[in-house]
Amino acid sequence: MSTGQTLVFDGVTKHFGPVAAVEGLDFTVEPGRVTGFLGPNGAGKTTTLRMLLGLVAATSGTATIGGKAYRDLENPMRVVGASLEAAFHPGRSGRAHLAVTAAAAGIPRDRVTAVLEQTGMAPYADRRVGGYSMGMRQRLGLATALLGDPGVLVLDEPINGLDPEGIRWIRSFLQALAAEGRTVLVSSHLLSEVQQTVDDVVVIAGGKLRYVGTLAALEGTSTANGSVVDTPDRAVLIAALEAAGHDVRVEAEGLVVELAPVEVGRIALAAGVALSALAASGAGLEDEFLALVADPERAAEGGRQR
Amino acid sequence: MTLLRAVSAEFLKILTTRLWWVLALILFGYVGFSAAAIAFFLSITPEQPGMVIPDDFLAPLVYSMATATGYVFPIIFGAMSITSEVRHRTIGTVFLATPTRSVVLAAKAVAGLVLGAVYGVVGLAASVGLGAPVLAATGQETLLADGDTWLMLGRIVLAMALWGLVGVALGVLIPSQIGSIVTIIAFTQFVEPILRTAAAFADWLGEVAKFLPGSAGDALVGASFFSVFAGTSGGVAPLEWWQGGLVLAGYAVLLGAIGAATTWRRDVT
Repeated sequence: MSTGQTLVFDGVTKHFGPVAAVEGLDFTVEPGRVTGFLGPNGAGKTTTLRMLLGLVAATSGTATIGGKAYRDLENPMRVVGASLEAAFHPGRSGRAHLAVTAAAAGIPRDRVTAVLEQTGMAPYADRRVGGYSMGMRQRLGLATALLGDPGVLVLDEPINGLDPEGIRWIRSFLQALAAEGRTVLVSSHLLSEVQQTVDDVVVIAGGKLRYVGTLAALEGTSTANGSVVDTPDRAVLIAALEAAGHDVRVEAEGLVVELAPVEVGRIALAAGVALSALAASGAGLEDEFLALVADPERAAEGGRQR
Repeated sequence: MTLLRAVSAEFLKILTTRLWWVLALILFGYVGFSAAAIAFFLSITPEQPGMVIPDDFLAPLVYSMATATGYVFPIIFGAMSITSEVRHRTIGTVFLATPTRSVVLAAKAVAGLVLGAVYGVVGLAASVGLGAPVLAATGQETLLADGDTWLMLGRIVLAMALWGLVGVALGVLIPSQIGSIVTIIAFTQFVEPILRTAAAFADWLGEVAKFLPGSAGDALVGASFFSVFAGTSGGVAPLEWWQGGLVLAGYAVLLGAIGAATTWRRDVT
C-alpha cells in the first residue's frame, strides 16, 4: 500500500462558459480519516473531484495530491484510486475490465483477483457488465479504485444504488481503509447516507464552500433542545406540562415540547404518568445540513479548521 | 514504457469484446461474396467494345475486392476504438490509468494499424480464397505464381492498415459514435463515389479527385474495381502506389492532429 497523502484544494475554480460551476474552493483532506464531500445535486462535487484527477481542467486554482497534480504522479493509480461513475463497456466482463485497467496502469495481474475478492465481486467476475445491477457496478468501480492498492481513495457517490447490506458493508470497509492510514474522500448528496461513516465533512452548494470541519463540530452547532414524548395517559401529561408552563403540541409522533427530555421525564414522574416514548427532537443534523446548503449567509465558520 | 502499457491495454480491450471478430466475419462474407461474384461474371461475360479487360487484369481486380469493398471495415473499427469509449463513458478511467492523453491516442493508432492489417489478411483470405478457385474453374489466370501479384497483396494489407489509422483519426475528430459512423458511410458510399464519377468528365476535376482518400487507397493497391469502371480514367494518371500511401497516411495525420488539438483535450465531464 502506498501511504496516505494530503489532498489540497487551493482556490479551485471552474467556469463552463458563463456558468461558475465551482468558485474558489479552499480545503484540505487528511489521511487516516474518512471525509464526506457533501452538497446537493449540481453543487459542483463531481466537477471538483474531476479537477483533482485531471479529467477537467481548472479555470484557476490547483488541486494536488501530496503536493503534486494528478498527471504528474509517477504511477497515478498506485497513489490515487478513483471511482467516478461506475461506467464500463457492457460487453466486457468485470474481470476483463479490471485486467485492461491494470495493464494500462502497469499493475500486476494478481491484483485483479485480489480486488475482486476484496469487494465480493469474485462470483460475478466473468459475467458481462451489461447484466450487472447498479450495486454490482458500484462494487466493480470500487474494485477498480483499489487495483493499485492506493493510499488515496476518491469515490463519487459510492453508496448510490447499494442495497442495505451493501451500504453496511461499504461503511465499515471505508472506515477500515482510513484506519490503515489512507485518505478517503467520499461524495454524497445525502448527509444521512454517510453520517455513520465520515469523520470530517466538507459541504459545498452552488459551487461554493459552506462548511469544513469535523462531523462532531457540525453536530455541535445543531439546536436540539426539545422533546417528543408519548404516554397512554396523554391528558394527564399534557395537564402536568402545561401546569409547569410549557406549550404542548400534539403531532403524529407524539407530544412535542420545547423542553429537554430530562425535564420532561421529571415532570412525568412527579405527575405519576408512565411514558411510552421519550426522545430529543429539534433541528437534527440533516436539518443543519439542509440549512447550510440552502442559506448562503450561513457558512458555519465555527467548525472551520484549516 | 507507458506507451507499451497503453498499447497492451488497447489490445486487451479489443480481445475482450466481440466487435473485432464480428466485423471480421462480416468483412469475410462481404468481400468473399463480391470477389467470387466478380470473378464469375467477368469470366463468362464476352468482351464488349469500350470495356476491355486484359487477361492479366482480372485476377488483381478480383483480389483487390479486399480493399475495394472491405476498406470501410478498418475505418469503422478504428473510429469505434475511440467513439465507444466516449459512448460508454469509459474514457475517464482510461485517462486515470494513462493521464498523458497523447500516449492513449498513440496506443490507439498502433492498435488501429495492426487491426487494419489483420482485416487486410482476412479480406485477402476471402478475395483470394474464394476468388481464385472461381477464376481457376472458369479457365482464367489466377496469377498466384506471379511475384507482382504477391506484391499487390502486400500493398492491400498496408492499405487496410492505413485505413485503420484513418479510422482512429476520424474517431478522435468526431467522438460521437453515430456522427462518426454516419460520416464514414456517407463519405465512402456517396460523396466520394459521386466525386470520382464526376471526375471522369473533366480533367481538372480528375486532378483533384485523385487525391481523395479512396483514390489514394486505390492508387496504393494499384488495381480496383472502381478505377477500372469509373475512376480516374479521364486522361488523368493516378498517383504512384507510394504516393497513394503517403496521401492516405497524410489524411490520418491531418484529421488526427485536428482531433488531438480539439476534442481530445476537452474536459471529461
